[in-house]
Amino acid sequence: MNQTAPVLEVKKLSKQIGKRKIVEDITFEVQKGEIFGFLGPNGAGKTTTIRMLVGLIRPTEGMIQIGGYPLQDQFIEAISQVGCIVENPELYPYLTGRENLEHFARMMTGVTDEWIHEIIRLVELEERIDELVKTYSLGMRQRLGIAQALLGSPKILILDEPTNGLDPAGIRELRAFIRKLVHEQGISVFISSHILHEIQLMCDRVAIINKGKIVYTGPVRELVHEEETRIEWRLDPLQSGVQVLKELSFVRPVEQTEEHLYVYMPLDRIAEVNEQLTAKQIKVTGIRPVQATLEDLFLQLTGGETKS
Amino acid sequence: MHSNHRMRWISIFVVAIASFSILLIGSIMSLIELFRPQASNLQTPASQKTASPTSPTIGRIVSLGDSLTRGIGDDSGKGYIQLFREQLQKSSKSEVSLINLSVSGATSTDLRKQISQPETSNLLKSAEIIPLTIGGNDLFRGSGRLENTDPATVEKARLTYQENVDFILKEIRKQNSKATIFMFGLYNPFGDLSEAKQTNEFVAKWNETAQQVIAKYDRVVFIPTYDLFQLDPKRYLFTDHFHPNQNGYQRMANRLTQLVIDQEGMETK
Amino acid sequence: MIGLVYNEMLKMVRKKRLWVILGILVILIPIFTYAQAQTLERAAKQIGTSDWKVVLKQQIIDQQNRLTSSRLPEEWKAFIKLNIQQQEYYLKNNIDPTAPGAPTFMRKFVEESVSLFLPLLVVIIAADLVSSELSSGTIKLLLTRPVRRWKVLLSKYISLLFATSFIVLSTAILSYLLSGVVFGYGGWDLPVLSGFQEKNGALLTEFVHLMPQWKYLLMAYGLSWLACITVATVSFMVSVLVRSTASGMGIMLAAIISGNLLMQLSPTWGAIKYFAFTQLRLTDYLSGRPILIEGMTLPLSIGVLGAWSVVALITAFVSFSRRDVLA
Repeated sequence: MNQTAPVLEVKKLSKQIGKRKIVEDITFEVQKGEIFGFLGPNGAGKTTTIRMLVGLIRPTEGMIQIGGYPLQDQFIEAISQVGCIVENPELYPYLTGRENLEHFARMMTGVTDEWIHEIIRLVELEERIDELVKTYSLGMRQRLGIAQALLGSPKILILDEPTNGLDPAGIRELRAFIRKLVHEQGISVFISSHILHEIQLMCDRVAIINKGKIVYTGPVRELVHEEETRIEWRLDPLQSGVQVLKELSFVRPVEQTEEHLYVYMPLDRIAEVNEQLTAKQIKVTGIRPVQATLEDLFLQLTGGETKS
Repeated sequence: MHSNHRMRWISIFVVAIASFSILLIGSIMSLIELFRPQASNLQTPASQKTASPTSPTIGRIVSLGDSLTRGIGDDSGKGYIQLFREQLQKSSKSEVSLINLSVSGATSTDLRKQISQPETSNLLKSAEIIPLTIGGNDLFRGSGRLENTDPATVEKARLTYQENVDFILKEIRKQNSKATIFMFGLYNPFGDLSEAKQTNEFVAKWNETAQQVIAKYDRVVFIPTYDLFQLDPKRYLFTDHFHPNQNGYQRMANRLTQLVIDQEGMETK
Repeated sequence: MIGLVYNEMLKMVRKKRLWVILGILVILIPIFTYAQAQTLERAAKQIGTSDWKVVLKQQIIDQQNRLTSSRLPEEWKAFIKLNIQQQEYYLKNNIDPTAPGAPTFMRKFVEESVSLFLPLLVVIIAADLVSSELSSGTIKLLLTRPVRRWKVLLSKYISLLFATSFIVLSTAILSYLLSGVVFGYGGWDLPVLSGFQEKNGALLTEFVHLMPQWKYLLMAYGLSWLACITVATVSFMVSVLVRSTASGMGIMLAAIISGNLLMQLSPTWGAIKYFAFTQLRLTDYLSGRPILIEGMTLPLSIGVLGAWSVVALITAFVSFSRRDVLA
């Protein structure tokens, strides 16, 4: 694929606690300058994987290489390439923003005052940086968290559910900021999330994890068929309507409830379908495009077998 | 900002390292001290010189004698001497102080030795009232068990007693010519026993001896106690059948107080 | 490493726990001072005179009288002689032993607080040191830095040693400054008896000697510091092992208090010697106060405290550097 070595390389990673296998046989690579999504429902093993990536948890098996250094054997060299936020950015609330940054800067080498200043400017916290962190809003804490992750000029930024708890404006802001980072600093970003939509908006490539195993790795573009949209139909009578829809070649039914039918189909052919239904005396009481969920994606990827 | 920063660094570390080092030194010193004890360093006689008079008026009452002045037998631990001080204090505006130099179990010979010590004589100089009980141990303990009292031994003890009392009074007068000395007489703690007759005789003889000696000196008052306990020893004596109990001490104190307050008004100023 | 230690100390200072401890001292020392002053006053009243010189002379003579008694064992005589020397020093130098000045209060205070009060203050800091990072989640930011875990923990331990020293020294300084208001600030040169030894239940006085109070104080606070460091080290281990600061503190409180209780309740049960918290009263070896527990000697006390500290440190470091951070 790429000529340069991957920034992050994970091979056959497993973690077993007691008899329970939390993560099994995980393999993926993150390239330079790439935003990599790590998608999975809560409890799929995302956080455990991320903790292994940053050295908080020892893997039972497998290998992690960051910037060419194996994490287990050359921890210092490997971890120097990483900036991370694991879960919430838990900073010291009784220190000021600047003191927090200086605190972590003292744990690394080569962080100059100028660079700290630059980072503060980058995350736009200049005005409040000398106030105590406990007075910060969640969004500001998130930005300070990113600032501390950037302190060591990392090659890869690992963010665990970075949008958790942020309001829509905050999420948009964060998204723009990450894009800017990748664009200006040329670093790679590894983002975990349980929201498909978010990954779709931010990431280039994605690995999907479910029940501790990778079920898909590849470009986000190929994940969801862009020409198709999930459509919710309300029909009366529902059963005969379903029959009609199933006969159409471009319609792919995915789910049916007592009142609705969910299908995938191109958005521009709704009018055509509507006409056919009306012609067969079926009343259309509602048509609504809906956002695809992770659940749908799993259905799509595994043909329904993951639905429990 | 920057110099501020440096100041904080420096002050935090200086405080931390200073406290650490001081305590480290202290603990090392103590471990050396405790693991390799040094021999006593202060057995020198230098201390003997130090008992010099410091202030001219220390204490108005200086009491001498034996367990009676100590207050043995009084459940409250006061004895006649404390009761006396309290009574006196009530009628006096100024502080009534008390130095009690009595030693439980002391005989007249013991008191004779004590009175010659510089510390004692220093204290006596400032005294205004000197209560004194002595002789009980000479008579009842020095002369052996009562059942087989040998009149000859008792007589020998009496002579020593006489000589000692004389010496003691002379010595006190040498140090202090003004203070009034109140010497309590002896009583017979065995007045209700079968040998009462003999012991009564001894006590009377010894009291007579004491009075004879006292007569040679000015401002020495003999306070009889014989009459206080003779009729009802059970009521006034402690369960050891030797020392007075609280009631007994109260009677002794009353006598003393009465005598002191009746005196030319010096105590009621 | 210096940067790491500075980090830890900065956090400690900013977290205000140290100030809370100073606040506790500032509130409690005047209370103890008042109590002590009351006791002394009552004692003076019982003697019946307010002139301490009279009292002292009386005491000297009482003791000299006791010396003349033939029933007294020789070792007690030596002890009494020393006592007399001490009291004569007071007289000669015009020192009132009943209003003895702040240094004497400092001495009494450390002797009384070494087994319970000081350890509790130390626990306030120590029990929180690692567990607070665990429970607040900041441990994740701390351990994803290019620094080995043992170094992170070592920097915390070093700053804990500094904080313990600071607490012990602050106790000394504050008890001096605050009690001096009542007792006066003099008395550093006061001679203090030390060097008692016990052998087979008998008090040995052959090594008893007088030393100036400042030296005694330095040593007494040094010994209490050793005791406090053991407490700090064990709390440190608990802080690593227990996620919640509150339960860590609870465990340590229970341990220290039961150490004190055991000492009082079952001094004849030999096994309690090996429990670190019964061994905290190191200053007793200096003051010559009778040791409650049978067969306790200074080397044993130091050995037990040292062994507990070493085991606690090893446990803390091994657990901290191996453990998965799941929180």
